[in-house]
Amino acid sequence: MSAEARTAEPEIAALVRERLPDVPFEVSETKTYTDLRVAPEHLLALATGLRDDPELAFDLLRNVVALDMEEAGLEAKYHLYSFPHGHALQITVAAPIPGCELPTLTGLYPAANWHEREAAEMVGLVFTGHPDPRNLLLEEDLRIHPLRKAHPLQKPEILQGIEDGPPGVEV
Amino acid sequence: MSDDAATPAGPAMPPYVPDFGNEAERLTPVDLPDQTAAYRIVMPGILQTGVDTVLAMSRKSSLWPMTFGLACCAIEMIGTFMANHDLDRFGIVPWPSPRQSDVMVVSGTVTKKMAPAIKLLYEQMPNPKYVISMGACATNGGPYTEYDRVLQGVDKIIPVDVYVPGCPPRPESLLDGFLRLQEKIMEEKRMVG
Repeated sequence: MSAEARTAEPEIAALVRERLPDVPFEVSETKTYTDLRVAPEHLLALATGLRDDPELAFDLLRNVVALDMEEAGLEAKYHLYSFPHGHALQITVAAPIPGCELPTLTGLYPAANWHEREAAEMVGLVFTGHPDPRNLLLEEDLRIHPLRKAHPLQKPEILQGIEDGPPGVEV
Repeated sequence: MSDDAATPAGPAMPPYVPDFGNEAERLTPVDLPDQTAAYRIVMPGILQTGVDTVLAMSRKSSLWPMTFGLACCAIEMIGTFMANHDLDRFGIVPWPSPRQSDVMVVSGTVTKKMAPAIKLLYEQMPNPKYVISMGACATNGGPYTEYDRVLQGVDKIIPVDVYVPGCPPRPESLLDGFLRLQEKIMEEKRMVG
């Protein structure tokens, strides 16, 4: 962790900009990662470059996080790590609004398969070209996205006595 | 944090329409049989008190819970079966099949995906059968109140005899739940099934 924390500085972004000059991205810092925000059409080019360049060599896809940004649409975040160099990176992609479609990274990282299935069922991203787009955790016939902010909650139940409602709920 | 997609000029997100499939059908409660005692029809009157007392005493002395666990409460349940708290001295022996079991200990969070399997296991148990709802999640959803994918209490789908409070309950609480179930069996002796 300490080696990773040393190298997870903005110089990794400068290195990516130097090695992959064709891919436009914006750099920002989070508490754990240097974040590269790319457009969806540049995602595959960036990921391919990050994996195959010998100076970068991001050979491990740690995680795929999907977020519901409400009116700003859906976002996916990819956490990458390099075993040879010990540095880490985060890619953020905002999915295009009506279709929420992103290219799959399964061809580059086999670990993306289940992560993308989970992201697809939980917030409703659509990964084009995914080899196995079934539900991973939910039942097979459900077409719901439980981690959307708009997903309905259950009604809280009053179990004992009409005056013993949970706090903040009108009985 | 730049939100390029947040510009109001672009197209809006399509409305979110969840499709729950036939989940409501899977979560219907079980059909309970008519639990009138058979011996009352066969032997009306004379031996009634003696027979049901003997049956209830033998029944409460060999409660076999079905071996399955759902969440962290299962760890406490396993600890209750182990040597320190030793449920064997009450004749409570875990049995790995629903066909010969008497009690079902619902130990943990019942998700809506797991609920049909629990219902199926309950229906496979022979009469008379008892259910202990262990912990806050199995009782009413517990910390997962209002969360959509968790069933708000296992009594939505199967009838429950004893509720054991706690999150998770201590082994002593589960032990007390079993003792209360034994008391309950002695009190309602009529169910012969």
